[in-house]
Amino acid sequence: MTGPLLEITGLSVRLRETRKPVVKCVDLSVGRGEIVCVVGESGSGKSVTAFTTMGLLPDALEVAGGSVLLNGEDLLSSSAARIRALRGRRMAMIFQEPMTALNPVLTVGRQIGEVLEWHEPQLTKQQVAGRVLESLREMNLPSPALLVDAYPHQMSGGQRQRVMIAMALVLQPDLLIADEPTTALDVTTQKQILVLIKSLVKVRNIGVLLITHDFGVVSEMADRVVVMQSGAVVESGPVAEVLSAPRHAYTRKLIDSVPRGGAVIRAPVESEIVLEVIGLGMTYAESGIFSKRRSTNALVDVSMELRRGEILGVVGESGSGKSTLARSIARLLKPTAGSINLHGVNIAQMGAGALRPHRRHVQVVFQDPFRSLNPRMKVGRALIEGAVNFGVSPDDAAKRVAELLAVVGMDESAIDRYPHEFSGGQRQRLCIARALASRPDILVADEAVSALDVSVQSQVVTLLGRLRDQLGLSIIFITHDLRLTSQICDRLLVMKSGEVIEQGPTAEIFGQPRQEYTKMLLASSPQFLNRSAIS
Amino acid sequence: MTIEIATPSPRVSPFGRVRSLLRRSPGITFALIVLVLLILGAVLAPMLHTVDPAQINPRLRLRAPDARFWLGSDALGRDVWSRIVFGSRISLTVGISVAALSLITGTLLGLLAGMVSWLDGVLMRTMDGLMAIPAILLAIALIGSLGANLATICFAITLPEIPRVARLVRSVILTVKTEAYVEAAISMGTRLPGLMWFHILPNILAPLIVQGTYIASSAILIEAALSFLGIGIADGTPSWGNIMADARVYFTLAPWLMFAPGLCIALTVLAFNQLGDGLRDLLDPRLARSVRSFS
Repeated sequence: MTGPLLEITGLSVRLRETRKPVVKCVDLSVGRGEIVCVVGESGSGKSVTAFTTMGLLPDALEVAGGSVLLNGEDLLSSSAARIRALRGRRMAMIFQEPMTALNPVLTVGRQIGEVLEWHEPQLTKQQVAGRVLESLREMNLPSPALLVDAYPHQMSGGQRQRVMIAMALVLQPDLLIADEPTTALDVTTQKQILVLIKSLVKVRNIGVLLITHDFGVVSEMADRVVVMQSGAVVESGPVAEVLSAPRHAYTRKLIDSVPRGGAVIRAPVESEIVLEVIGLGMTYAESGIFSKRRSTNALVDVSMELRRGEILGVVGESGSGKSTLARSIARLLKPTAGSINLHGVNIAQMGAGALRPHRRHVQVVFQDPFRSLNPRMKVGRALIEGAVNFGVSPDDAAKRVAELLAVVGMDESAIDRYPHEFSGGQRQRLCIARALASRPDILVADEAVSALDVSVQSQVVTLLGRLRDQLGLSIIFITHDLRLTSQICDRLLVMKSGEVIEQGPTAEIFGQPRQEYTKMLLASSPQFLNRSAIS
Repeated sequence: MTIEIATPSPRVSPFGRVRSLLRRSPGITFALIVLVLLILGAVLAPMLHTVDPAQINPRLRLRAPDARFWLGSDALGRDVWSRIVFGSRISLTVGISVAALSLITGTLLGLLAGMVSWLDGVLMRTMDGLMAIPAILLAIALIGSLGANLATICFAITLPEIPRVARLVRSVILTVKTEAYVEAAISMGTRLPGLMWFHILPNILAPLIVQGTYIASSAILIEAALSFLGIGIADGTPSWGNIMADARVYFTLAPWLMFAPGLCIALTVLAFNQLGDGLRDLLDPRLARSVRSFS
């Protein structure tokens, strides 16, 4: 190996207008056949570093100093045309959201073919088609010959991400930059993509710069780690060293926030049943005038019960029906079969008027903290709405707001602010506070932490556990990531294709999963599995 | 990039925000200057070196611009400057009242169609029907049957704008309605009126305000066209359209008569459109966010 593939020295990037530094004096290098992980929370400058390398810096930012060498060639002083030529040929990038990165109106084959046609105009049509097919095959995609003619919306998220990787690698670049490539994916799909990237590194001897906020991913993938915080590198070194003996407090915090496997054994909850779901079914009927009637079963004969002060984890991949279950229990949907007994009253088929008084008991916290707070409503106003709707006087409700904010660990000054002034984690706390405003018995957390950084995830999960202990709240905790359930869930419900395939105490399911599917979910979660091997 | 984790962003005073907005969009600055001048002109019309715009002076007809007639005089010897200043009252009244009326009615209909599913079909098909009639024809028919005064003209121009607003509002609602904060409000027991007023309306205001500026500019154009065709405001009250209509016959003798009102119409329409474009950029939350995420 002669010299590193990518060498970044003293790179600084700042805002063009205010000259505020965003990336401060970053050094990192990537060699051939090596995976280097850049870890940090959002806003740590890891994406900006990657964008600078690719020459994709947004207009608002400018490079203030340092150098970026790819195979010894300085990228920062190269012309735009030269960078364009290098992009794709020598370096390529894949992004977090595979749906928005692909053109929805072109077939996958055309999109990959286009890259080839642009960069290698001497190829004949047959050669292009051959190369496209070959690149899809290399990604372990099922029936690549059929996929060539598929449109992005016909594929799953994992397949789209594989297509993105195929497109990035079709010109045989030496360096692949992957910016949170699996954050938007299910754990099982994430596992597959990570395995794929790892094997490509071996086969092609390329260098990978992998950006992530999840130390679980780091421990599975990285040869070396670079930890970034507020634009600066705080620690870097071989993965074994950093994981076993982190020197910087921030690194330790990130490592500690990764949920460990192995569930905490909890005493079974014996209190009274607050919610009982029997034989719940949800069928979406698609009745077109011209097409034949089709129906989709989102829920099939789902039964469960929830006791006071119990946290029930509902786990499954996307499309397993867990969100439909949540929305049915909160009666944002009307199920087509079965009953939902809330304090012994069946609310499954109630009309809007009769339902209203019962709504108080079940409140929801949604996945996307950026869409679940009304952007034009001050926090204080949002926090009294629920209580006022159920007959509390506005003055009394306002008095409780400070108390609610304290419960979720937020400062009282939040009352006068608008949601955009808060970060994702803070917003999710506000959503929980809002849900608590009407004093519910049941909180439905629908992927409530999936969109958050790992370190923030653990804070919110801890908060939910505390609420159960302090308020005797029953929580339905829905997630695709089994790791998150181990610490707080009393019982687990594993769902697949709309059915409950396994349920039981958390420790039991972690210890002796009966179903293959559960075993697969468990195996997919990135953990410090090889920790003993490292230390 | 994943979701930002940070302390609450520092607050910017409203004044500072307006200043930075103006710096970033020169279009809005231009529009605001033109519109403020116009409004001042319309309000202070009697004090701006003007005479009675209806005062006839046959001896001094078709004069070129000079110290007495700043913009010349027309075929009846009336002062064109005075007529244009007073005419701005008509244009501004029509533009602003049509925008306000069509926004209010259209938003109401759009809200009902978007939120009450059994009303949706009926309302939207009625709107489609209304849109099928050409605006100018509808205006001519209405003015013909109701008489040509300012109120009828505003009504006639408003009517064809309503379906556009209603459709816009309905389409925006269909996306806003699925937002998690609306679902959260439903599960908190918020009733339909509260849902519309506190959760839906504030979040669709931005495209509405922008649409309003475009409606204002097109209303000014349609009013001018109607007056030019001789079916708008009667000749006694000056409006930019009928000043041009009068001048048309004497175009070869006194071409300046047409330029001034024409320029006024063009500038006003341009100003409203610039205001709309500028507001659209400023109110677009995606744009605002992309600026914020790097600062």
